[in-house]
Amino acid sequence: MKQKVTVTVNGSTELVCNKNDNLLRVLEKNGYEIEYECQEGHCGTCRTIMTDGEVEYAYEPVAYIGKNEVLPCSAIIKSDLNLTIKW
Amino acid sequence: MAYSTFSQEKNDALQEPMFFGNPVNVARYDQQKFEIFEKLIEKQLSFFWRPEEIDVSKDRIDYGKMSDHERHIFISNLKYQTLLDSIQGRSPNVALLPLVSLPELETWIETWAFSETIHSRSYTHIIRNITNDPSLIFDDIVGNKDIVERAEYTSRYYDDLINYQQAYNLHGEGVHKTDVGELDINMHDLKTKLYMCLMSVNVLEAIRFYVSFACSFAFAERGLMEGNAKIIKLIARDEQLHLSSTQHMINLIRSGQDDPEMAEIAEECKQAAADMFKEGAEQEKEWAEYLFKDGSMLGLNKEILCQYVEYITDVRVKAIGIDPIFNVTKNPIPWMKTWLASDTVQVAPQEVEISSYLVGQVDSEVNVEDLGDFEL
Repeated sequence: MKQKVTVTVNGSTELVCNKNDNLLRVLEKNGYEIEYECQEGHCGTCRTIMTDGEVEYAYEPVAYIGKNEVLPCSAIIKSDLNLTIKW
Repeated sequence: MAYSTFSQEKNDALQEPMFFGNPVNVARYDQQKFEIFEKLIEKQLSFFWRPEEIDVSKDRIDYGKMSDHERHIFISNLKYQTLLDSIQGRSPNVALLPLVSLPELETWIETWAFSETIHSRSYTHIIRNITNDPSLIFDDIVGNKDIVERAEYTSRYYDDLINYQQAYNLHGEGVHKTDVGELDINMHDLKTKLYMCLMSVNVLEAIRFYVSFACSFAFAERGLMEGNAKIIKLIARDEQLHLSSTQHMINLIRSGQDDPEMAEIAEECKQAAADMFKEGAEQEKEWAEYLFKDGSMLGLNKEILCQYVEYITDVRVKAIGIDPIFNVTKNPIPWMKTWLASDTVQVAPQEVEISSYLVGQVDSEVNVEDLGDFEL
């Protein structure tokens, strides 16, 4: 059975999904319109604030990722996450 | 401090800043201060492509069928991109290489500029295909006021930096008479000019190219000029990488991980950088007006394009610590995502609507008459 994890958005909305799901797909499925382009971590367009949690990347990102930021397009969810999505 | 192609001063590149330290002597990559530039080089090399790989022959037929105002949109964008990439193919080398102090960054700058020359070659490939006399298009570029004004805005920052760094390399700090007038050379101003030049390049890669990209992809969404769109898709992929590299440089400077004085300069220039993005966006909106002055194209008009410029400007400025300028929260051209996605995640060509893929396909429609000659 797949292990469930929770992606908390803006401290309130909780999205339950499977561990190892792609973060962008989870957000899109739940109605969050994240701007993205390359989908392999080299453009950085989907950059999103992640205050807590662990992800791994399907492709090693070369785009700039600041402290407490994540690139959802190529991020594989590894634990419960806390995100801040302003738009 | 004169520039030397072989600085014989022994130095530890791991202790050097990105710019204005000792010149690079040995191009060694076994150790890197900022490994990201090595990764960018690897990525750019893996992206290598040649314009001749893309068949643009069907575009000639499409171009022949276009209305005059659609041709104006197509050709004007091509001219503008040709000039921008002409500048980008040479300027990072001329302006930045004499200042750089890290081997991995030096090689990245060369790799970056080289990929821009591929873009320039691809515009010639496209233009040769659609017209018998490419000179008619090329010769008009530097005489076109609307194109020159916008390109000049980018080249101005490069030229300013080049003039200062050349005077600095020749004479050091102080007031010097030069061909461009009297220059008061000091390291703080020189570093400021470098920072603003990087910001201007960032504006170019972050928003300026995207107006042209949107038009190219809008034609292809209608099944027109698909060869051109395939080339622009590859150019856009390269430009995404270049955008990331300037964002890295700017953010490394801002964070203070590199040169503390440059970090202070970044803070001083914060408002000027935001103003530059705003001005760049306004210029691109004026360009959209020029493109559509004789009429819109199906699926794209001036208003949508202007909203898109505002939208991506906000996305881009956030990446370098500037607050959104226009507060446009929704992408008005959602289909751009399809064209800007990397090939690594693209579905097979037969699953997307690239009609040129169907050239030479077998007609699968069978009528009873087709079987009339059959004997059992």
